[in-house]
Amino acid sequence: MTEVLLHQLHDHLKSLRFQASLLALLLFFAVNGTLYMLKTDRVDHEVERLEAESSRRYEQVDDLSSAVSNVYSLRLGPLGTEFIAEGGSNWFADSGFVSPATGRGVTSIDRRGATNNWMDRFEVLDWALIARVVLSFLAIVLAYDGLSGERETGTLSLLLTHPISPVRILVGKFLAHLLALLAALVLGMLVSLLVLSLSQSIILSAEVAAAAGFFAVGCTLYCALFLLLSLGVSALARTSASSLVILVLVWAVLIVALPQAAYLIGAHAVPAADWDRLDDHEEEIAASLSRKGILLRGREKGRGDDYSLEREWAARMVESEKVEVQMQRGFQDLETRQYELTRRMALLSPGSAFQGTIEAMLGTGVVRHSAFVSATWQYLDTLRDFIRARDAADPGSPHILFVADYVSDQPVDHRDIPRFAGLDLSFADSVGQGWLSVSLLLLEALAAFFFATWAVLRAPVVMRS
Amino acid sequence: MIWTLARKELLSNLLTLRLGITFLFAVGLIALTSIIGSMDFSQRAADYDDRVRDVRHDLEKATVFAEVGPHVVARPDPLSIFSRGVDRNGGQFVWIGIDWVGASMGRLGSADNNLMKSLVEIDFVAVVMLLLSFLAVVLGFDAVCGERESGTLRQLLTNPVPRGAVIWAKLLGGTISLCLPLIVAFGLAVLIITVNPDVDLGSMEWLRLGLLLLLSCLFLAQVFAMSLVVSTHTRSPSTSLVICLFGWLFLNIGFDSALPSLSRYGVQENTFQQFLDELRAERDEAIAQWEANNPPPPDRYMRAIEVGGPRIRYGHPRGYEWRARRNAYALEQHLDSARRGHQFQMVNYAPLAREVELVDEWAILSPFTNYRALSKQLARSTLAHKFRLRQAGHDYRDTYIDYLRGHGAFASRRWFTDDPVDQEPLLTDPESLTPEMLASDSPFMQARMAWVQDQETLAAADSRRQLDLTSMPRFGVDWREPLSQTLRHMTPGLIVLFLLLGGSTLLAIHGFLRYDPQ
Repeated sequence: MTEVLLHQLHDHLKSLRFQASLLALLLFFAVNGTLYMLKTDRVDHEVERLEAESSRRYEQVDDLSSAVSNVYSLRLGPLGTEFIAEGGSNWFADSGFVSPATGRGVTSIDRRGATNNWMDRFEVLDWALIARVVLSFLAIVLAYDGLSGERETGTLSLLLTHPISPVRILVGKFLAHLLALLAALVLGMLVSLLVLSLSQSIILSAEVAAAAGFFAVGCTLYCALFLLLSLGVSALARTSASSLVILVLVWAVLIVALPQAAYLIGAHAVPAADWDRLDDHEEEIAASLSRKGILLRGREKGRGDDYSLEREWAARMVESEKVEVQMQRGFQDLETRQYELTRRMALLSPGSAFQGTIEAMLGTGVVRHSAFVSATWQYLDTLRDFIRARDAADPGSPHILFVADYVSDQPVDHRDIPRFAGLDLSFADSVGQGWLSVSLLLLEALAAFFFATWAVLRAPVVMRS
Repeated sequence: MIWTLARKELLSNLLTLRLGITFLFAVGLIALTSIIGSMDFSQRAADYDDRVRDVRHDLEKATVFAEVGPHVVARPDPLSIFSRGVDRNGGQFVWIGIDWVGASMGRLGSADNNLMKSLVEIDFVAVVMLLLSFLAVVLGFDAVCGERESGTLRQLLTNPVPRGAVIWAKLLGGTISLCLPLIVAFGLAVLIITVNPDVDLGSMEWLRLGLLLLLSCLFLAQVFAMSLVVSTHTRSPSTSLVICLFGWLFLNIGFDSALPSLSRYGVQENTFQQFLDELRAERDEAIAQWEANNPPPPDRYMRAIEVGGPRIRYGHPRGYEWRARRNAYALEQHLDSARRGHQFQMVNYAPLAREVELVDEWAILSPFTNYRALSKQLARSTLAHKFRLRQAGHDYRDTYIDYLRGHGAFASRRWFTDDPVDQEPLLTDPESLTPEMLASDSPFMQARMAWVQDQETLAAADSRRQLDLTSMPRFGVDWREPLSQTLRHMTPGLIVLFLLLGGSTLLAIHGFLRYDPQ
């Protein structure tokens, strides 16, 4: 087995095909490094601007009333491993807006970082894309004649005269291909890392190293799948050429066509969120309150009847807010569901399973997005708790909670306001999101192994005429 | 002679498994994109109808000039079902008013799901570019070297056929066998789309669709010819296939995924927002300055009843006179600040537009992206085409403002009130009123408010309050690009397409003349 491995490895390193593949990978990774170098400049500048805007919103607060009416902007900073898996970070929301005021307690999320809406949708050339499309393609190109080639030249029957089982030959060949391909991949990764760290776009931290490690593990599984598939087909195919045609067609359908078809179905299977309804509801409530003469009169005027109108107003607003929160969460849920359904349908393609695995391992993608959405809601509670506690400490306050001008008029130092702590995304969350992708990928690799074994055992040793 | 050979090529191609599998997938995918594109189109048509109805309704309801907003709405283009481009992203709505000249256009319908933006959506052109071009490679790579390997090439060449004719026959046969699935899929897509009652295809649209089909056939012929070149210059089909596939991977998927990112991050963008706020503050300050120099009459002359939006009624003529004078100044300020805001915005939008343009300009470097860029031109879904709508909207705004000026609308009380000249005001003799009487809960004011209620019923039936907009210019130009101009824009891409097709054919013939069939 080791001999087969070494022999094959030696053959590879000399072959034009392998050298072309290596060159292709290096080229793709170099382009990736350059792109993200350009992008990081842009993003750094943006992050600075948005962080400043976010702090300014905190600094506006000087008393409890302004703390109530203020709109806080929460920032979801860049992850730092986007060059490995972009995970939607170019399009997903990166800011949240939260106001504790009653009736306004609907958090919203938005994309504030620069996007170009005129641009056709496009996939950014990250490592995951390179692996998903290029690496799988190279695996096929390297291994499509693994057995059929030897049969054509007649060396297969020679090989089988040795006292080793065909399965061992398969495993030897497979490992040789895998090692060669992974070596090329690692070289490519290093090129990208080199470009990025020389340009100071990233800092080579333990986090980046771990992410790169995860990526390499995912790639190993994914490569194994395509190598075993290729070797299996090559054992069964009549000629090397027909083996390649079959494999590449399968590749085009699995990697290119299926995920795109999934978009079409996923995007239309779930109804679009009707955001206008939310605005309509707000207008309706405002109109109905003013029709009934329930209004805010100002702190002094209301004191006479112990703020009966204001209390009524606040109670109505709390009810209305409940409806709005339900609507908003429903819409957010709908959007996530639409996206998740699309991704799940795309899992028919091993490329998507690989993408899902990498995104889950790196804690990016829709996992991160959902975590951000729920973090904005949690932060709203934190803010309200803070205001409630401050207000309770002041006996002179009318205690109409979360209505500006009807809470304590004590000053508030904006530094005391609890800040948004960022995301606390545990590994368990990622696994919870990605288990389907990971297990599918594992299963597919395993199935490919059995297929290849079966194919080798029943493969003809000599060429059929 | 060529026909006999071509027919043989065609028949042998049609029987292969590769063609069968790809054909099924291509037709299935194209049917899927067409059905979903057609559903999507109906939704967009409904959004368009809604918005047009709203604009028309607002115009009919308007009784003062301040309420008039003859916004321009563009009908969705059915050709975009075939090649999506920026037909949706680019916006379909030009806001026409005093305050604002948009550098971009508004979008119809509800907001998009940001999550979905990270995924790629396909259309007819994408299926041709990805799947059928792949079929062209798979059919072409072994056309010559495969026949050499199986030995049939020698047989073929024992016949008295000129070698050039063999290549022509292969090209013809291959192209026809590629165009057959294309035409079937295209016919199916057209059928699906014409079944939709919302889709209304004019004769120009049919012509453009026909040209799109022709372009797609030429594109496939070009890819096929390019793989023939490889096939006539290699000995074994395996080498040929590896070269063809690497070429396909780099030029198609590789170039296509690097191009938008390169142009996106290679163009310097500006950040703005604050400037627009400053501009508005400056405008408001100028108006406040004017008000300080030309103080309004006392408050009791300014009292009026607001009836929905910018319209007021039952004010005193003296107050009205002052307001009209103020408007004559203030509205010019608004126009000026809108103009400057637009100039500033254009500076900021130009890099974004440049990014999109660059993607289409550099597309010429790869035959695959070149095909897509050309299709977008034909389907009128490029950003440049969207900007024609924006320009037409801006031109229309100019005529609209000329019309307002011509009617003296800015300095007229008709800008803010529909009161007839003999309308009795809320406060007929303001000088005689004491501050107590003017308080909102005084018996006097209560009585006057009851009077207002009666007047409102009268006003509803008063035809003099109608605003006569019959002479107002309406937006009616056909802003869409004429076909001759589209073809002119397509010229560089088409030249590249024909050069590649012709050059590849010649190279293939040249290679085959020296090809050793042994």
